[in-house]
Parts: sequence; C-alpha cells; structure tokens
Amino acid sequence: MAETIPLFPKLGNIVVQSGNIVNWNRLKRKPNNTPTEEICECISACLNKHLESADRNQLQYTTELFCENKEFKEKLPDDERDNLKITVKVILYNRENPEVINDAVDKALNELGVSFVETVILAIPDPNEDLTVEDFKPSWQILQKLVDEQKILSLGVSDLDKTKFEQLFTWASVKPIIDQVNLASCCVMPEDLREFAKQHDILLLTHNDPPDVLPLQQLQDTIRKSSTQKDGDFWQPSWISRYSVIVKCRGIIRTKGYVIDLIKDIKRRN
Amino acid sequence: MGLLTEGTALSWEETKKQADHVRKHGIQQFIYQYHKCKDLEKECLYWGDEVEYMLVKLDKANKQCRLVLKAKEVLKKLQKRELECPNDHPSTWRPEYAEYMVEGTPGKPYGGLMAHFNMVEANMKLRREEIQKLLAYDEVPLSLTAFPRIGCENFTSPALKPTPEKGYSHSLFFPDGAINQGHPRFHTLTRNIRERRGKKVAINIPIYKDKNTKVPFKEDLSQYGDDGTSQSAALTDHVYLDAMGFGMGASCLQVTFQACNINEGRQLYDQLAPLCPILLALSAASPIYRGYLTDIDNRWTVIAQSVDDRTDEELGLKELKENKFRIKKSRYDSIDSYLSPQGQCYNDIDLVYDQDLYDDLRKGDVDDLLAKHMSHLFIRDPVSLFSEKINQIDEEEMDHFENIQSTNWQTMRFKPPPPNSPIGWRVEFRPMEVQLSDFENAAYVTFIVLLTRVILTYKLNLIIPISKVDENMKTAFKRDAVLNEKFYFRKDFFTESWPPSGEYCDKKKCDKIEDEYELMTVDEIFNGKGESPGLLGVIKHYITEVECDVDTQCTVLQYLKLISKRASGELQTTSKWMRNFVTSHPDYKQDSRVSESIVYDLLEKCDKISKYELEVPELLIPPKSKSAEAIPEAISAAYKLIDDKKNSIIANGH
Repeated sequence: MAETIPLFPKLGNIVVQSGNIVNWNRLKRKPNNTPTEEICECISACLNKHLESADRNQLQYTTELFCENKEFKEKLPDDERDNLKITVKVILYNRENPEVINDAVDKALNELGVSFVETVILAIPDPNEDLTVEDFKPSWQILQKLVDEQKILSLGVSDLDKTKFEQLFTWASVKPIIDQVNLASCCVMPEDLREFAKQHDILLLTHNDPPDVLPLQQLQDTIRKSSTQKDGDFWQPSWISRYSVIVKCRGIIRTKGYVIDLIKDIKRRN
Repeated sequence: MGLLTEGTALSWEETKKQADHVRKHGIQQFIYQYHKCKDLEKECLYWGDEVEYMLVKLDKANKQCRLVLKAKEVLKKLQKRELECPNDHPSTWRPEYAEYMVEGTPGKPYGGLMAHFNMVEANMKLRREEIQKLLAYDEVPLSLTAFPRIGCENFTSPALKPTPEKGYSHSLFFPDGAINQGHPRFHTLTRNIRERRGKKVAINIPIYKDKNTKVPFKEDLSQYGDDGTSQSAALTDHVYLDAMGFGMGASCLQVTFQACNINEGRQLYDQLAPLCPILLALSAASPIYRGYLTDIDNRWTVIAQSVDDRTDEELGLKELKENKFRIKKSRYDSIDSYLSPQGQCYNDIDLVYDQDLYDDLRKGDVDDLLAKHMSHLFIRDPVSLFSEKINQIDEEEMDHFENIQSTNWQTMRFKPPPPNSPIGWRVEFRPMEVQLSDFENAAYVTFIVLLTRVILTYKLNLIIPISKVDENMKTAFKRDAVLNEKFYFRKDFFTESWPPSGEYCDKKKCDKIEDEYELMTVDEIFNGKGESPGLLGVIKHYITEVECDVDTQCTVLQYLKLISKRASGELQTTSKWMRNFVTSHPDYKQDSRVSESIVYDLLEKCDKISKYELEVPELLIPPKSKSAEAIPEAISAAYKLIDDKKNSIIANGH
C-alpha cells in the first residue's frame, strides 16, 4: 500500500467469484456483516489472493481480471439437485446494457454447475427513486428469453411498489411471481400491495439489502485497500449476482455466494 | 405421554419379575430397528410442538381456583375429529398424568419452510379454543406449568380427599382421583414407583424466606394425617411434597423434530443438550407449590424427585445387595452422555451402564457411544407392564424398548423410527416450561427449531463437557437465574468445518477443553458480547439469508424480540412476574404463603394474558404476530409452477 505507482493501470473489468461463503469462517466475516460489507469482503479476499501470486509486470498490461476463490468453489452434485432450490438475485447497476444479465445468470449457473435455477430476482438500484416501469422492461425481456431457454424457471423483482409492480405484471409475458421488500417494512406492508399480491398469488419476500448495495465510495476504497490510491479510481459496479441454494424441505442454506462484475468508467479515466 | 398401551397392568411384584426380560428384549428390539433404519435418509424436516394444558375452574364469587377433574370426558370430545378424519384434523390430543390435564399437538407436523413458523401460534390458539368450547362458563384451559395450590385442601373440583394409607400415591395431599382416570398407565406408574422405592416419593423444595416466614420452617404434617413417616422425610426450611402428581401433574412445552438421518439426529441431540439448562432458566414459570412461594423458579427438581424410584441401595444409603448399581440421578433428569463423535471428548461423567446389555449391543454391531447410551438408559426397571405385551416378536415390535425409553424422562430424547412407519430418527427437546400465552410458547418453540437450522447451516458447535451442563442445570433452578447467574457456554461456537457426516471427531487430542468455554450471563449467550453475535445474532442473520415471506418475517422477528428481552432481563420471566404478583398483593403477609385469594387474582390475570385480553408490559411485548393457520397460497402456487417447469425440462430430456 506504500506504492503509489498503480498496480493495474489498464484494468477495465474485474469479475469476482466468491465461491461458497455460507460457512462463517470462510471469509472471516464478522457475524454482523451487512450485505455491503460482505460484498466488499469478497472483493478484497479475491483481489488480495490474486495479487499475492500475480506477476507484477504482467499486471501493468492486464485489462481484465477474473478473480476466483478456488478453494470455495463448489459445484452442486447432480444427485442433490432435486432437493435444492436455487435463487439468484441480479442487482443490475448497468441497466443501459441489460444484455449483461445473460452474463450474470450464466456465470452463476457455471459456478454452481447447473443448467437452470428456480428463481431470478431482478433488482435495479434506484437511489433517487425516479425509475419507472419502462426502465425495467429491457431487462425483463432479457430475463424472459432466459426463461424460454429454460435457464430460469421463475422471475421476481425487488422493491417495486404496487403501481410499478402491477404495470410490469400486466405488460410481461412471463409474469413476476415475487416482489422482494426490505425487511424493515415487513410488519407494515402497504395494504394495496398486499391485496394485489393476494389476488394474484404473488409472493412478498423479504430482503436485507440497502437501496444501493455497493456505493461507489466503498467499492473504490475496497479496491484501494488491496492496491494503491489511483488503482481504486473510477470503478463502479456493473452487476452483482447473489446466488443462494437452499435444501428445500429442510430449511438449510447449502450455498451462498456472489459473482461481482466491476467496470472502470473508461471515459473518465483520461 | 409415553407408551399408552391398553390392557391389564401387572402388579409391581409381577412387573419386577419381568424386568430382565423387558430389558433384554428391549435392547434386542432396538438392535433390530437400528439396523433396519440406520441408513434411512429423510429429505424433509418435520417437527411439532407439544403443549400441556390444565383445566382450571375460576370461581369468581368465592375467589377460589380449582383444578377440574374432567380430562377423560374432555379428551373424548377433543379426539372425535381425529377418530373421524384420521388424515385431516388440525390438532391431536392425548391424555397426560393428571385428570386435570390434556396435551395437544398440531394435527400435521410442520415442515422445513420458513412459512411454517408462521403457523405455530395460530394452531396453538386453535387448540386452546377447542378446549374452551368444551368447558363450563367458569372453566378455562391454562398453559400453566404448576398450579400454585396443588396439594392444598380441596384444590380439585370435585373436591377429593387424599388417602395416605391406601391407593396409588399414599399422599397426604394429592388424591388418587386427580390421577388420569382414563388410562391405567398413570396410576400404575405411581404405585410401582412407590413400591419399588419402598416408600412414597419425597420432594423437598427450599422455601422462599421472606420477612415473616417461619424460621426454621417445618410444617406439622400430622395435621394432614401423617403417622411420622412423612415428617422424617421432610427437610427443614423446605416445602414438602409426596406424590408423583406434584411433578408429573406439572405442564411443560416440548419440541420434537425429525433429522435427515441418524447422524444428524445424534449431532442435533448433542448440540441442543447444552441449551437445556439455559432454556429451562429462560422459560422459568413455576415458583409456587402447595400454596408456598419457593426458592426455585422452575419445576425440574420437583419432577425429578417425584418419580425417583431409586432404592436406598441405589441412592448409596445402603450397601448394594438386591440392586445392581449405584445410580446418581433420578430417572427424570438431564442426559448423561453425548451421542456424536463430536461430543465424545466431552463425556466426562462416569456413566453407569449395564455391561451385559452393552455387550449385546456391541455384538449387535451398535457403536460404542450409542451402546453406552442405551445400556445406561436400560439400567432402569420397567415401572409399568401390561400382561398382553410380555411376549413380543423382537424383529417386529418395540414395546419393551419403548417401555424403558419412555420412562427415562430426560432433558433430551433420541428417538428411533417407530416400527412400520414413515417417520425417521427424531430428537426431542424437553426442558422448557410452558408459558401462559400462545405467543410466548410459539416464540420459544420457533427459537429452538430455528436454532437447529442455524446450527446445520453454519456448522456451529455448542458442545461443552457434560459435567458442566449438569452444573448449569443446578444453576438453572435458582430464583432469577436469568438475571443473577452465569452459565458455562462455549466461547466461540463457529467452527472451521464439520465432519461431513459426523463420522469422526476432528479433535486431534481431547485436551485444552477448559479453554473452550467460560461462564456467561444469559444475556451474553443470547444477545452476544463484543464481537460475538450471540445465538440471536446468528439466527437473525440466517433469516435474512433464507427465503422468507413478509408475514413470517414479521412474526419471527417479534418472537426473537421476546426471547432477546427475556434474556437481557428487560422482560421478566413468568416466574419472576408471578413472584412479584404475589409479594405485592395486598393479601400477602410476607410469610411465603400464597392464599386462595392471591391465587385467584393471579390465575384470573393468567387467563386474560392467555386470551390476549391483558397487556403486561413487564412480562411480554404486545403479542401482535401475523400468525395464520395456513401458509400463503402464493407459496404453494410458486412451488407448483417451479415443479411443473422442472418436470417439463426433464421430459424434454434437458
């Protein structure tokens, strides 16, 4: 960290695969970790590991980094597949390029060694609360295609109020069956959303993610901690895939992990 | 409830003659069943709660409370639905020890979805309503751990006189008519325990010494018809009780769950064992016995003494001649050994076991830990036996096994699959006291089951030496243990990994164990301290990671809040609340005596609490869960959609 010469000046894309981090000690997670802290820890762990053995000279020219925690990589055994329920939450920052969803889902499928997942939940961070349903449609079309390809069995969204949810529900050909809400509001759900959900068999599930799960400052500081001040500049999340695998009728979380795609805003770099 | 065989009960003498027969064949039955089921894999978690209720008459005009002796007729009506629709009944009812008690469980076990936790309270409410419908206008079902005036004059309705010289209990205080009248098992146990022991049971509970309490405290028992034998068994400064009814006539809250295979069962048995004393302290709800305020907060030692069938020889008071073993505990008490390889190093109590039966088990290819556990349980005599059940086909029947298994009443029970049934290996968590309201009972039950999911998900290890668990038990009885005492608990319960099938112990040497645990307050255990999240911290993390609907989340968070506040002392245990009620009552004379009028006022309040008609902010948070009788339709719809799609993928040969 004392170095001021950037370690990877040409790096434009980092993909982090955390592997299975459900077991507490694997990440030296503090038990009270927030999702943000958890994601940053994944990034740190991967970067640190990679940088340990990387060739410093080569790094100067590296444009893409695939960082994975090989020791935690766990493909799901075929004979267990029937008992498992896999949910992937895709947090899409890069909504101008919704086709990255394909990557987000494929990488999760690959990581787990499966050909389909039961549910994908789409979250588009909306810090200014100014997104409309139109902002969801392009992504939703990508997801619908993946459903047609039988890579996904069911779809859901995160943090849509009744109005937007109903609009999406009405327009979509593959209808969302889940709306995720922040658990802070679980006891005080708006009546209109509850009613709509009841009428249409929509599952209202809870999540614990803040509106912006990987704020720029925190992301960049995380990268800096593993490298240099300049190395952290201009990074932003493109998408985050959080996958979780539950043993269906035993309520045990078998696997939980992240695939995190980070890009450097190249336009601003110079 | 135990083994409810119908038939002709043998006398004690005849039962005793068959003891070796029962034991030997019981072990054989276990060996057969063990081999049949040891590779059984059950994909699903199934679990259920058991709540015991007392039927109480609240006589408002006279400010008196009585225990109503009508379990037989009430049960008959309660069981009607189950008999008519064996596959479709919302609740299941069973008799219990006393004629004023009924036991209810959910009609169908709960499963492994988070949404199932949202059904528990609603089903408990339903059960309570079912009983209430069958009672008279001035009678109520109370989930009360101990009736404060049990054994006092005319404590039952109809009023009955105890029969110290004859009958089953020979009690100065507890009439035989208060024992369950519908089933021979209960009075048979009562009589046989007394005859085996050679005298009636003696229960001594330290009295709560208040300002005006007689010091030394010693009742003149001749006023109850004592011929001197009771007086000599009664200890000074103790409340003396003398019947099985005082213990087994107390109610409790139990949880049973099915493990996915035998190894998981053994692991969970071990992991929950250290929690027993702690949950006992946290659920404390019975400080008053026979109209006296005692110095204990819960029922455990009362029940332990109430069914203690050990002879003087077994107690170590006389030389061993007729009996084989010196036995350290009553047959109702905490467990004596761990069952899993992980727990092996922590078995530091001298286990008394039957060597011949142990050898039979080993010859039958049962491993050492399980063989020791079983041969330890089987040092006991059968204390009830029905003539129709003496000769059995060991490969097919399990009554002899169940006979001994079900009369070892321990903090945990490890249950093999019953013969000819789809049910798997199960673990029963037995120490908790029942609470007044369904909200609270649902909270405690949810906590335990959630904890098992958390233990399995994050591979926690809570095991400490079993001798320390026993020390914790003694601590747990104490008045206000939750607030004032410390319990041994594992310092760091996160492990690097678990042996995948629990088949070996990953400790290199069984040393440095003392460094693994320390004394902690209940607050620290549940709510954490410093970097440690405490049990509730880990559970809260789990529920954010597992799929959970909004109502279940709302409900479960409230349950965890209740547990958290009870653990920190912000809310009183039921026991403390009852104590405070008594000591601040205008009729209380600071002499440890709890009069009829005080009991009436107390139980009237308990009834209101159980019906959610009274808020008691020092005892519980407003019980506003979102519990419902069924899981949301949306969940079934979602599962169906997913399953249909999966099937079509398979059909397309994907």
